[in-house]
Amino acid sequence: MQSLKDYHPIASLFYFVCVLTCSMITRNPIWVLLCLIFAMIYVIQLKGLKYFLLQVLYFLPMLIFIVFMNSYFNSLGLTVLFYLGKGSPVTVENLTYGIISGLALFTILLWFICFNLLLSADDILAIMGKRLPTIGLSLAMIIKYIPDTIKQGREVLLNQKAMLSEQQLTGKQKVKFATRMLTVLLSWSMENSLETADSMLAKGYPAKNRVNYSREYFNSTDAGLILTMVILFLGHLICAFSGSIKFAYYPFLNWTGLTTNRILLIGSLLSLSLILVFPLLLDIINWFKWQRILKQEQIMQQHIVDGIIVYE
Amino acid sequence: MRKWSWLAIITLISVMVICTILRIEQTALFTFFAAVIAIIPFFISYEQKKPKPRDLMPVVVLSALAVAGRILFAALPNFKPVTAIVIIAGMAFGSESGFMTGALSGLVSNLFFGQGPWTPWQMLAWGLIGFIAGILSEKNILAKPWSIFLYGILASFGFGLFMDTWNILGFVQPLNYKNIISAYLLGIPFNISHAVSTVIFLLPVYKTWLCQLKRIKLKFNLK
Amino acid sequence: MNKQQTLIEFRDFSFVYPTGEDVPALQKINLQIKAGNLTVLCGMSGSGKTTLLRHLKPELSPAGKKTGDLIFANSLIQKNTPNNRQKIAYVMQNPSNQIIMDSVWHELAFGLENQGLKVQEIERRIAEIAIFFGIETWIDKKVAELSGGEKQILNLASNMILQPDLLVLDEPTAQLDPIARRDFLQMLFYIHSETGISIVISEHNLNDLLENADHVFFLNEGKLDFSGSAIGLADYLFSNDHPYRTVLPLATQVSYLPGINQITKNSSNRPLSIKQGRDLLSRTLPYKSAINLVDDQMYFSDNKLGITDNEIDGFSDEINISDETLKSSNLKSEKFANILTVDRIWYRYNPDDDLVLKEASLNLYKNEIFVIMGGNGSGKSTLLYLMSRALKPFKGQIKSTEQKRIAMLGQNPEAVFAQDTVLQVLTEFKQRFANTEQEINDMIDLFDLRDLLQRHPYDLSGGEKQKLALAKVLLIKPDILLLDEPFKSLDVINKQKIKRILLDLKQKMSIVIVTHDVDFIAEIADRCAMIFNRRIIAQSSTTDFFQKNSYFTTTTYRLTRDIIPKCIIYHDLQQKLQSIMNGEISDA
Repeated sequence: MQSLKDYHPIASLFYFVCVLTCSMITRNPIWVLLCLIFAMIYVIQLKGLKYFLLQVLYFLPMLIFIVFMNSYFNSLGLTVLFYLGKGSPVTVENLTYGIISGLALFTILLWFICFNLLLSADDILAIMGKRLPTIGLSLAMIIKYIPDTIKQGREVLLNQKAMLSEQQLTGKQKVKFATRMLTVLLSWSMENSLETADSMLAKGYPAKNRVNYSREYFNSTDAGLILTMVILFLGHLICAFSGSIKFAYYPFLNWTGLTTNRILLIGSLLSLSLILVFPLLLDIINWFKWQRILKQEQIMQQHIVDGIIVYE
Repeated sequence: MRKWSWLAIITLISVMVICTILRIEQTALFTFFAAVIAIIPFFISYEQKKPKPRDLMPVVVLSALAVAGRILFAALPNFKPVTAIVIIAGMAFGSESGFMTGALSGLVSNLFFGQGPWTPWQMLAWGLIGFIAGILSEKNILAKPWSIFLYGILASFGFGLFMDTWNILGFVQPLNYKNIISAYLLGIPFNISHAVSTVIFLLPVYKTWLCQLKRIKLKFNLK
Repeated sequence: MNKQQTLIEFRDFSFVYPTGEDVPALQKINLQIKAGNLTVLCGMSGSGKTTLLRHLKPELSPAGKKTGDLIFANSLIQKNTPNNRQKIAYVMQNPSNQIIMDSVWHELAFGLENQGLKVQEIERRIAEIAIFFGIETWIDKKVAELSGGEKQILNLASNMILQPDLLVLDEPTAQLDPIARRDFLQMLFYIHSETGISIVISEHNLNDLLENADHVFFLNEGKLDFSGSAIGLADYLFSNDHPYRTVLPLATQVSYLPGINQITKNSSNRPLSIKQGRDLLSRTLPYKSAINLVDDQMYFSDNKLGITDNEIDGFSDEINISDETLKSSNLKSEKFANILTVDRIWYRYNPDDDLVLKEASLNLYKNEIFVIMGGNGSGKSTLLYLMSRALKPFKGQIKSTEQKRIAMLGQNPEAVFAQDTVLQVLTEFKQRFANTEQEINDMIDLFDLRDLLQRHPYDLSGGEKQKLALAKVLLIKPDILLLDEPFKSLDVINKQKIKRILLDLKQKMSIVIVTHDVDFIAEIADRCAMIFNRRIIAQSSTTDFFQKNSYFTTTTYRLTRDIIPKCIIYHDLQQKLQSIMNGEISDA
């Protein structure tokens, strides 16, 4: 068993596409909250509670914005709560829709936090490089050039200052100074890139049968992950869209899907939960495996201490 | 291939419009993937050109400069030299290179700052800024300095509108002219600061940069 | 492979650049590159080395008018077969610029990807090369984390991974510090001896290289002036009194000195390394004690700073700080006006970083050349930036006695070129520093920039860029001039020229130089110091400094230590040998 991070980037990417789709597919509060809870757990597991709370804080203005946009400008919904200024009435229904929408957006942001932690730049290069080799190559080159450019930028800045032993600059001088610095940086980087281009030629770059080498192997476990996800996801779509997912906000909150086939309802919730819990499940299984191995090692060590080595 | 690129943009816009009019629950999902898909024709046409090493370099160097600038100026919120650099890239090396510079700058800078649902929108927005700059300068519309600055301001506002669109379309329902307008009005302070930073960046460098790039084009033996 | 098989042959080959105004860059070249040889291509800068080397790699050969024949062995070039296209590998000068990809493993894979190899094959080759080069430990690193030396080793590895038959290197160590250079050359020699690959290398520093060369070509103004063995080259250069002879390893040069030359003349084994040179010297001069005696009376009276008499002409004697004065006054002689004091400064780049400098102090005197040496990343450049006020120490002070104008030139001259022509670069600060036409013209002539005025500064050669940057900084008319590695891309002739200019300038200003070039600096420095452990240590007069060190010292001193005492620079050695020979002859 491996955790999600250890899968081939394509498999991990596919997982994220699935959960992102699940999070965006409906505004049914149960669905949205379920996705939110798992995204939350996952972010907390990866980055800690403090980080998560910080994210909540950052998101708050956006949440208020979305709630406001949803409730201030329309008079939908029957249960009027109060009036905000001269606007339309704020109702339970449009307020709920606003909050759920906001939380859906927050869920997506949380999934992207996980995405950034699990898929490194290298992984993204590997994914791009397979299908779009020139762009994958350009990306790798850009990533190589950025630290060089930053270093050169600092060097140009320091050198320009040092050449004139500048101490205090007036506003106008500063602009002139920055211009000069940027111009130097541009010509210098361009000039240097000429040598890179030569080096590419020397290594036979425009090659007809160029392949894209990635250090990751796509193996059966990756295929297994994708297959599992496809089955779960399709199952989920079928169950959910046969009715159970239906939720009406207006004129009043009503989960119309509740009245559909029970099996379909349970099936859709179960498949969603399975998709969401998957990475967590992997980690839990791993944890137990480790515990077993550690225990065995302890026993082994005890045997060694006792002077007996038992081969099983 | 340019035809396909336009088709992609038109498709994206129609998806956005149809989803909004029909009040589709999955607007966020559909428009997000439509944006991802809209980038693909641009990428494929670049792939098919099979650029030589020297053709690759301007896009690579300018994207790296844009991202490095974004990192160097990360302390100043919303000061993005990217827009200005992308405009110059489009003007100097044509619409296709302009698009690639914009799109790759967006993608790579998010590798540093964190990907999010905004990634495809950013890539598209910056890409189109470069793309249109290329077309305009082909038609000699950007010959005068004031037209470049005007384009810089328009592009910055366009960028802001484009970026806000997904949040509004996807998460506000039902939409009417009132909430659309007020949502965009809320974004104006950010757009103004973006436009100002773009112009401040363009103002002193555009002339020398275009000059330098012209020389580079000669030296690299590019068309 | 047959040892004497010819890989590449030039027959009456001439080449003219399209913009070259009909001056051929290569003229009637006839040469053969033999399989399995380590071939060294040497010559002044601008002699056509790079042009010739680029013709060895068809993908990189410049556009222009070619006449004559250039014949490649069949094994080397089979057109349109992808696997044979990379039978020639090419390593360039700048370590960072020729790296293409973002991480080490990706860079190694790049060439193999172009060959369209299978994944397993690529993996195997990377593993193999990583182990052979001993770079497994940094295979996961990003390229940006590597040092310059490591980058150049990576460039070597990413070329060798293509299993070439011929490895071409164009001044691969020009940008490296001495330690990184040594590591790189050792790796190169190791590859040569282990794989028998054919190597063509051009270098402007011939130390450590000639002793391993199988064949040497000497290019001069586009013509092949010499082809043969290393010692043959030495004989050729000395018999023609060619200025390039000063590039030869010091031990070789010594063997041509009068008195020693008679002994080595007819034997074909002139020394090429320090060890051989020491053997020769101790064989030739067996009377150590006698020499010691001779030495103390006669030598120290005249030349303390290691500046030859004719070069001293024209500047005042008060600058000559003698060892004794300095020692007795403990570096704080009142005779020498303190122009700048660095008083216990502390510096770090970011609050979380380690300290770069801690309690670093130094005094700079009026009209002296002060040299700071030290390892890579020891904070030498940082110290200069601090002295120039581009950076501010967070503790301690940098005080200058009066309002002194300070100007600094960093390692890369490119960083100060913001204009489109050389002339514009020079006139940028015309108003600001009130440069007259006359001053600018003088500067242009001083640095031989007259013919380059309308060129773009980036199209100049490394040495020309360096000279242009120096001219630009001098037009600021500083009282204190700070130079960071100013000799890196200069050839012998230019170095000598800069040496004279610096010695002249010393009359008007104080100069601080940061450099690795120990041998050269010993000839011009008044005082030296090292940066180590974040402090400035061992501040002492040049002779003192180099005599106390036995490893970090000049080649001359390493060559003569215990044999002829107190020789720091070549000129010392010349003079001493002269007098020893005279003395011995008169004794006999």
